[in-house]
Amino acid sequence: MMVATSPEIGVGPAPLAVDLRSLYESERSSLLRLAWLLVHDAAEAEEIVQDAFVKAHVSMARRLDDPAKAAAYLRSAVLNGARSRLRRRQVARRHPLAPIPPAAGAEVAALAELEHERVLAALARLPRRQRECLVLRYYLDLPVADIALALGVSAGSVKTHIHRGLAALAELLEDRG
Amino acid sequence: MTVEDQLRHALRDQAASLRPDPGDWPDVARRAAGVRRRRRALTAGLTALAVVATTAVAIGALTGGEGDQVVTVDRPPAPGTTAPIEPATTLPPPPPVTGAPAPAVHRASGYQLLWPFASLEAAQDWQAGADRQGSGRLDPAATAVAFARDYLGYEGIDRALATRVDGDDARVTVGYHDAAEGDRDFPAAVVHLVRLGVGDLAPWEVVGTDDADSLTLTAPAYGADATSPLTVGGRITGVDEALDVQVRQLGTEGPLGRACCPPAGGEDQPWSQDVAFGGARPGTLTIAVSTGGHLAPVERFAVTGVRYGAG
Repeated sequence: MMVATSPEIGVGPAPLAVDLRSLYESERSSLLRLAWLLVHDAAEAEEIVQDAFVKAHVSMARRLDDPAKAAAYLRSAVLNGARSRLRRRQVARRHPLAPIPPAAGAEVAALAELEHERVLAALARLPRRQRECLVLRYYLDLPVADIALALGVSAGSVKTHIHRGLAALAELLEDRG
Repeated sequence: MTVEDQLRHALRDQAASLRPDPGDWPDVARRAAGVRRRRRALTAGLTALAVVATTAVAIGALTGGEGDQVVTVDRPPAPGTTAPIEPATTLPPPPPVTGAPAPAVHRASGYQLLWPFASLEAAQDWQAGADRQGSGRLDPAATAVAFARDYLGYEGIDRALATRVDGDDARVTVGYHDAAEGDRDFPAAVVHLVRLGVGDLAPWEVVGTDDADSLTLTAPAYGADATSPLTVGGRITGVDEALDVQVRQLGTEGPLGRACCPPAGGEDQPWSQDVAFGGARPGTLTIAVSTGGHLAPVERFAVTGVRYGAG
């Protein structure tokens, strides 16, 4: 078993069963983008992912010793963090999520980009659970079973959310088309 | 192009346009160390409390004995949301019990009857009914879990982690299971119940929760008269908490009012939320507040009872 320590924190060795620092370097970008797609705010996405790794660091040092579960754990933590942020916003903003603004520096206003913005705007109007299922399925390409694990729901429920989400998305795109 | 393809391309192109910086691993390690330090301090504190409590019990056993098992009707409960401010539900005296070794006086007077019975009469009707066996009402742990999961709608709160019965009082620690966080159980609240009626076949009634340091519900006061809108508040310790406040009443499907989710957090910080409600009948209302979203939708909750239309 690989044992990693945390020399920079000065509290003695923390026996990590997985090399969390390597995971941080390899998975952070993907998790950051996942969070960004869910909360539509780059700064909040950064905080969500950072918080997820803090939780993972604490959990793995104590008990989460299966490296295979680490990625799934981090995904769940990011999803929970995103939900928490969105719930807080609901009071101040009682309308659906605004579409993701174009990335800074993106100057190509091609038709494809406009089409993407249209799709993302429609996605933002879906209920939270449908939105999460669709992002996990079509951004991360997760199988239904992994989505169910990440969201803490049954596989059947995930299928239903994906089916309804796609139907609603198609309807919204048609209406606007 | 199908909707799936459109969505896939849109998500990937959009995600790819984000250019993450290298991140800050030392910040992760530093904050994790802080969390572990706080947990160690908490564990040490709880251990010290346990030692003190064990010592107190041992001293009580040595100096007291059976003579201490005196049951009083209005014994002040421990501080917390369950503390009755004034009697709200006037209950008739218990029927005489002939041949009983102890004056099995019920303890409900002064408490708000939250769930599952609205009155002693309702409990007695249930007790006289043929369906009482197997319903779980004679089990304080099952009653506490059903209160959280079925009545308050906290679906993830599905287990009793500890049960302490002291005569006609019971305190049940209810909680949830998290597979990702080490595949273990986490406590969410300590539900306070009293036996409603006389004897071992009297059912248990939820009358409140004990305040935990990390989440309290102190306003409105237990047993206070309530009107809509209601200002609900207390104190909280936590990070990125989102409070969900609801007002419920027995016999009504769903909450009468709800306010979600004012942000809260910090160290022992006050929180407050106005919640409007409608459709209440004269009687007791249950006010519940929950927070979660880190490991589970509901990770902590607290309740209190108030009176509506009593005047």
